[in-house]
Amino acid sequence: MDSELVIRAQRGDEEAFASLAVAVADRLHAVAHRILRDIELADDATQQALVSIWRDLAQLRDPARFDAWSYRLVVRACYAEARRSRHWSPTLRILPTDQSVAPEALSSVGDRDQLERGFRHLSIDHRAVVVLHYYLDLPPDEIARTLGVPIGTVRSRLHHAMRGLRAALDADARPAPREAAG
Amino acid sequence: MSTERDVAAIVRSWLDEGSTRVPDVVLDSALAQIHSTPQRHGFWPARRSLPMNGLLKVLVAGAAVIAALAVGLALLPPSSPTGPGGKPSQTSATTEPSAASATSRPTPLPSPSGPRTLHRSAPELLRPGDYVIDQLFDGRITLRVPPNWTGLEHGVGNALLVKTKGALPFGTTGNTVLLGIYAVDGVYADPCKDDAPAEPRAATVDQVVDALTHAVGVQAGPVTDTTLGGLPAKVFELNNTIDENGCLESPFNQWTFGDGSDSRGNGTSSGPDDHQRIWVLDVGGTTILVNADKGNLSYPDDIQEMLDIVDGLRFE
Repeated sequence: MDSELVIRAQRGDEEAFASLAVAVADRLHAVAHRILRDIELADDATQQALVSIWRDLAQLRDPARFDAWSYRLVVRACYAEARRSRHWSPTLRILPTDQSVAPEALSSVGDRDQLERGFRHLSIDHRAVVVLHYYLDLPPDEIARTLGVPIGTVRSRLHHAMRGLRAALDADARPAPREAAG
Repeated sequence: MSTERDVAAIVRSWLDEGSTRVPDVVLDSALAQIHSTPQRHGFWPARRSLPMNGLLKVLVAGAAVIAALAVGLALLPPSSPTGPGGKPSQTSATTEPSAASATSRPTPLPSPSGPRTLHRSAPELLRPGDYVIDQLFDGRITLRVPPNWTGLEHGVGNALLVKTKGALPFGTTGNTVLLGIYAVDGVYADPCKDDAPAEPRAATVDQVVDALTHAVGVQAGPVTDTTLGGLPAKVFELNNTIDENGCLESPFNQWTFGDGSDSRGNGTSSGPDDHQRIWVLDVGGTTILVNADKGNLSYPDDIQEMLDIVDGLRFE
């Protein structure tokens, strides 16, 4: 991100902030959508994150850290949206398949549903580290700085999240009594 | 059975699917909203990124004490040419905080056209003398400021004053004291974990005192009755035991104050190195919170100056 643009926005330059917002909004929205799994909640979280960025930008001491800091605010907005909504995690019941799990098998509707279900079972804490790591490709130490948590916490969340997702995939990959679709 | 590598690849592929473009209405709404959203100014030192030894930790944590920030201060220049603290020292005139980039200057009060305020300015070293805070709530608060105190911002909801030894820039020393005055309208039940104050909002003096002294992670001293500016008040000591690392926000939020917009400001603390003496009182129906905040390295004479300022507060 252009540090000069950040500094101008920090000084209250709304035009500079608009340029910043245009530059980061797509990415923030993509992160929010992937964490919340709901487009409307992602819209609200993104809007709230952008307003928070404007409001608190003067508190950012290192403009070079803008990107990481903006991710922190959008994750925080996701927490708020998740709490605000009583229906953000609907019960999703799907028919299991007998397919084995492999990367190339993702094209199947069943795999997406399995991941969706497994992901929705994760807390926002765990979803956030998964999205930051596997979508934004941030390493654990960078995620720790972004979220303001110890790196051990990040590694732990990643471990448990991936274990949960793997369990969801494996469970649905095994032949099992079919659930009734809800 | 899937391998770890398989799952990672699957998850990456799955996450790459889906929306990557924000709807225009979201961006437009956010940009429209900033017109009515004031920026908060921050003075907290940068978070450390390297391990610190004990002494350095104390120094940096002490420096953090200065920072909680806010919204401004209506300034009166000295009520007399000399003011209670004498003429501004040469040091005062030449060692403005580095964070200060003020474009506004204090405006004398009163003036023929009535009070005017320094509004949401950058922090600025104050000349010693009498000042008025008239943006914080419907009433006015007057106070007497000794030399080498810096006014942070002044606005609806709070005002902050800070002193760093020798008027050194914010964030460079731990020997600071911070005085904040707030029109408090909510208290965080768990300052480390909560992202909003507890509902229903603490509003009255008793509710605010009760909520603050029972917040998660604090050690509150006995609450005693006193008077402040001639008004009945409650006073108590508050020590945090919270390690800000791992909290939702750093510094973490303790209470909220209305700032005249949809957003709210927060009274903050940085953790165990912060020690607060808090007064809460009702001023004409508004619950006012006065926070005298010191760090482990604060100088005793600075602390006494801060308490003297509190003793001299007057509410109109």
